[in-house]
Amino acid sequence: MATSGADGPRHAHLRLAVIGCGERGAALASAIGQTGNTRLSLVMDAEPTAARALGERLRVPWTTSLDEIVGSPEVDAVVISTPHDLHAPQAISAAKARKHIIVEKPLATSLSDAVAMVRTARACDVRLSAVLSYRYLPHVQHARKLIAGGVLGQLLGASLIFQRDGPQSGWRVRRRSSGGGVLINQTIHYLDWLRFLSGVEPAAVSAYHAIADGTGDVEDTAVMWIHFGNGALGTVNAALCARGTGSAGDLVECRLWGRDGHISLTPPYQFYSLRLVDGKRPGQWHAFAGQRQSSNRDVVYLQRFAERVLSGQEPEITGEDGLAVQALVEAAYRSAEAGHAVRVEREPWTNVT
Amino acid sequence: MAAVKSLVRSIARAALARLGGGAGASRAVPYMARWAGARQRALLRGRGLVRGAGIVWPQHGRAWVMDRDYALPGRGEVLIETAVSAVSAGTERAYFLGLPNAVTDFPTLPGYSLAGTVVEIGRGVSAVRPGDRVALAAPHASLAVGSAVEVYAVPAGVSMEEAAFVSLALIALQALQKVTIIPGNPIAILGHGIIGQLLAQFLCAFGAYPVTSVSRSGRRATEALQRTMQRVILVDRDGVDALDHVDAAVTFDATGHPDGVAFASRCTRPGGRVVLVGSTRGVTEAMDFGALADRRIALVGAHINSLTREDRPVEARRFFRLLKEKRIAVAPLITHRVHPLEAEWFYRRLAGRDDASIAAVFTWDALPSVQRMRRVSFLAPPDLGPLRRAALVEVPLADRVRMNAGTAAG
Repeated sequence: MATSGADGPRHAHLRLAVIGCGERGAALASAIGQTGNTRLSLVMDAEPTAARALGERLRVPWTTSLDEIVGSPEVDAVVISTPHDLHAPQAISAAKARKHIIVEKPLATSLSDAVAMVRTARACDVRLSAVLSYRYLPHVQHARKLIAGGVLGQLLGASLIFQRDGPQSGWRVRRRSSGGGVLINQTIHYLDWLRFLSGVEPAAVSAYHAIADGTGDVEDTAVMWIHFGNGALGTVNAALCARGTGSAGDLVECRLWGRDGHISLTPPYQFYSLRLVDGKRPGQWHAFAGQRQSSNRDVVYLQRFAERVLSGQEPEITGEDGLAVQALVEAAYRSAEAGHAVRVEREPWTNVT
Repeated sequence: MAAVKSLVRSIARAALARLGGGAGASRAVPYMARWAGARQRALLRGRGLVRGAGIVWPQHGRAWVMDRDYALPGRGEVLIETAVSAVSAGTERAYFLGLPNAVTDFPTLPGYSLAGTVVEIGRGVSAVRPGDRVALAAPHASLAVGSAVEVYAVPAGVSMEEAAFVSLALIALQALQKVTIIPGNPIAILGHGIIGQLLAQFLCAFGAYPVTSVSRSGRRATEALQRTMQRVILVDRDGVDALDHVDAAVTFDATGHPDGVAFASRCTRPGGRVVLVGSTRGVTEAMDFGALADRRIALVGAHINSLTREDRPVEARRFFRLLKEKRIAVAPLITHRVHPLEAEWFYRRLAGRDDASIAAVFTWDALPSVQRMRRVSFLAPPDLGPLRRAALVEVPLADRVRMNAGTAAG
């Protein structure tokens, strides 16, 4: 059972190593133990105290060496949860060592780095996926099914508000290490919702951002106007300085509306449609899904990733998904800098170098 | 009787109170009046009540499906459980949008053509019996009450879906009554809507030749139309001057548009006739009446109201016979088969700029049977639900934050 990575035989379990033992790395490492098809082989952090603490807590070997991880025959895939500027070099090293790659969002601090990661993974024939795991929240999955069932019809508009009273610190407030602030760190999950739920790609963006209340050199408040490819319009309002909201309870209000209906991912989750969808009477608001769900989005994400990779398929959330949402965020930053609307880069990413 | 009336008033007051008074309550008045009217008729007849579901337009641009009560049929009446109702796309679109010459009071009960099965008959009715398949002019609803002399028996071999178009067929057939059709004399039909398409089929069935079909664009130019017409002119494609070479002895204007008559006259040879079919809406300045007089072209009005009560069953039988003999076919013209609960979706599509529908039907047999027809007591309160359930449920901001706890983004 010494073979590993993309070249090795298919195992019943995908053997994972976690790179980065901070808060998110620890959460993902813990989630690995709760899936039926993944196993944690190793944890790594450049900071030995963090690596040892997590390794001992989860009773797995730990290391401070990236080379040890990518060279290990006991590792099929790596889970990268480090400061964003480290994602690209670590992912590219792993790809060249024929390890599949799971990367915390965002893929990188820049779209060009992210494109390099995805291209390398493709060239090395390994799978790369971004942890855009908010897609797996039960109410989001339910909303997706409703929309696929015709609740909205043609998308006409979207509105997204993300608010938290949660000042950031450390590497997250440095553009060089994080790539940005509230947009790239938190709002990116919900921007991914807009793509995932509507199936329509943003075409252009206009944005403003500011450091309203925080430290460092990244924005803690931002607004965006999105022009979708089909002509629909959307607005985004994000802030980490909204009093009355807390780090344990973000305010997330997300609504999409179309020619035939409207769906709200603001609690209590509701939809309205002129179509007969899911057996619900048209012309009325209907609640869907529960307010609090017990399933863990990271566990679902890892389980689905492993299922697909073990059967030789692309993961549900691909590197291209990570690129698309990274392109949207980067377009917002370019717009804020330029003072006018900018086009969102799209596949085949030929303009990105 | 007085006690029942008093009870009905109490129920009405309780239903209004649930709306919270004010504008909601005043909007409910017409619905309450209809609900009370059904009870009054049932009381006078000494009969019971049934409840079905019907389409209501509460205002321009909106369509609801609401419970609707009916007194069981009185003398000479029949109660029909609807299978299919047909949409008169041009007329209903005009009233839904409130276009010129299409003014109505709201709430409105749209629709005037359906087919179904007789479920109850009143005293003195012998022409039809429960179980008979019939068609009649009545609003879109799961139930219809009509005079026994105004329902048309649907023969075996004709589907409910096609029979449901009886009122629209009568509009087209009465237009043919207004002129003499001589094979060999060119005929033109303006408009590719359901009336224009039915006219084309009737004319072919009656041996008219040659027939030219004219429309602005080809979006409703069905394969059947292209096959059966000797010529199809699309103004956007062929240019408006192509109309001057049609040289029709008779031109039917089935566009429903006020400017249609000007185009129709260009299609018509000197001494010919232009028949205005149906209900043209709005006014036009495009018509040069002097030129019309110079060319001795006669304008002939052809509205359904000119068809006598005696002639209607005759024409309905003619329509059914043509269907049964497969000399005409309505089913291929049906572009939308709509679940009644999706009525608002359909009407909004119909109202859209890019609508290309020709014929549509509401499929009432898709509703659960209990929703289509059920006995109700005099005490059953009215359905005022849609007046109450328009709003998104909002919860306080603090609760929304609490509800998101545990899903914080990293």
